[in-house]
Amino acid sequence: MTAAVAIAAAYSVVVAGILLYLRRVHRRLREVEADMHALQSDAGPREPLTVR
Amino acid sequence: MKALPWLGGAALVLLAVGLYIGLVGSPPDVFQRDYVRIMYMHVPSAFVAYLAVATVFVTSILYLWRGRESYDQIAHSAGELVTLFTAVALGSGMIWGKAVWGTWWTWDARLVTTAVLFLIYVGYLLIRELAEDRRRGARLAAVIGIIGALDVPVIHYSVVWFRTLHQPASIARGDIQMAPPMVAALMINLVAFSFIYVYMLLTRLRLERLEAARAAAELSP
Amino acid sequence: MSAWQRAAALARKDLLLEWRGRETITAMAVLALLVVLLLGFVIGADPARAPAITWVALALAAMLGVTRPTQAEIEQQALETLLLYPGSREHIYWGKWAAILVQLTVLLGMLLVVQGVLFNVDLWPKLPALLGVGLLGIVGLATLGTLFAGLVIHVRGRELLMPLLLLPVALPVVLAAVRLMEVVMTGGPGGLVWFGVLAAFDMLFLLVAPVLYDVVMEEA
Repeated sequence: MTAAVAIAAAYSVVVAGILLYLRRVHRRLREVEADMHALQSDAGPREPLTVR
Repeated sequence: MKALPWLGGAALVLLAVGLYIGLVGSPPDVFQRDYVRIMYMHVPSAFVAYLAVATVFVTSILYLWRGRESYDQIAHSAGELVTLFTAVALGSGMIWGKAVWGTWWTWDARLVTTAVLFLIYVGYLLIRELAEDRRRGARLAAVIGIIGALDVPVIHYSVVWFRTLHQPASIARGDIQMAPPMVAALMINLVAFSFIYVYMLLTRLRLERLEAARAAAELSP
Repeated sequence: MSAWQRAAALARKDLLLEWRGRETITAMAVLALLVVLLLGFVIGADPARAPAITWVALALAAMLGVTRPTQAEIEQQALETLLLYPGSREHIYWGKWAAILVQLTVLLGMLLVVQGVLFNVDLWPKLPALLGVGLLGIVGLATLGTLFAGLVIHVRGRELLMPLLLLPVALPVVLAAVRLMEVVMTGGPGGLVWFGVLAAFDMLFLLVAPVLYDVVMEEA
């Protein structure tokens, strides 16, 4: 293994690990945010209770 | 957190500088030649793993003591980062070992300690999954987080001494003599990785909080 | 009844139960013996390897046996009754700790004899020192093991978790005990260092584990 190959491989492991993890977190964040929007819009129309 | 993108940006800038110096602006090692440059990503990874362990330790104690959910949320996030960064440190360390020593596993004390640390915090995450309910999982995980963190220095020294006290260091890594640019590159990258750690922790924490909020919202009609 | 009396009563009860069937100690002894035989045969019965093989066998057997006192209580649903007694859970911890310590001491004795026989090691002159090292080690195993045994009660996947938790965390005990036993048997440097490691480990976790036991044993 030449130094260049070794360095590239080792660096890739670190970078890939970080990026893949962040990708997963961001994906779950999008899901959660979508769910929260859905939940809020469900509750939304019911909010203003007019007192008759 | 509004400042989060700035933090990420700063981290990347620092990392770029550090890697420039490390790859181009610093000399190769006397013994390991250019392979030593792996250290500029490997060592900061291990450093972040220990930062994360310390985070889990402190927040676990606070969680058990005070009971506030936010402590557990930070602990859980940091726990995931421990396993990520130990895994990454192990991977880069193994490549380093293969490149310089010809073997994927060198039974080097630090490599073994990192592997053991990885296993302990896999257990930390597993217990949350396997527990009956969320709260018990959090409490039990806190216990493991505390025990694991306390054990880390003991594990480290016993592993190092196991090999070196008994026989003269024949499997020595060969101490790397650090010229000033090497020190500079390493220090810069340590700071860069610390920024990356905080960035990742806060991002993961935000996810944890939102998922908790979602769970609470789904329960109440 | 003072806390110590309660702990002692608990230990007596666990040991008495164990004495009736002797299931746990038998299981531990058989496993330990098999490990020693297997490793001794596969790696070779060089006397220099004896401490290492002994401690691997001891650690694996401890992992097996440490969950038993708590498991038996679940099986007899006595745990809830036990938890109802007033006062902190610490005396429960010490009771179980003492019970496991006794069992591991028996196991240690057996393994030392086996070591002497199978590896052709002359034990007699060094017996007190060997027992001392053994006790230091099994205190470490018992201290962590009792805590983790309580931890895994309320959790699925017990058989996976116990080894995953105990072996990495107790690694220093095994390493230090092996080296210290080697020093006792063949002389050599480092005895004080390894004694220090074992003593530090034991003291650290003897302080911390009982405190955390309360967390581990709490009701839902």
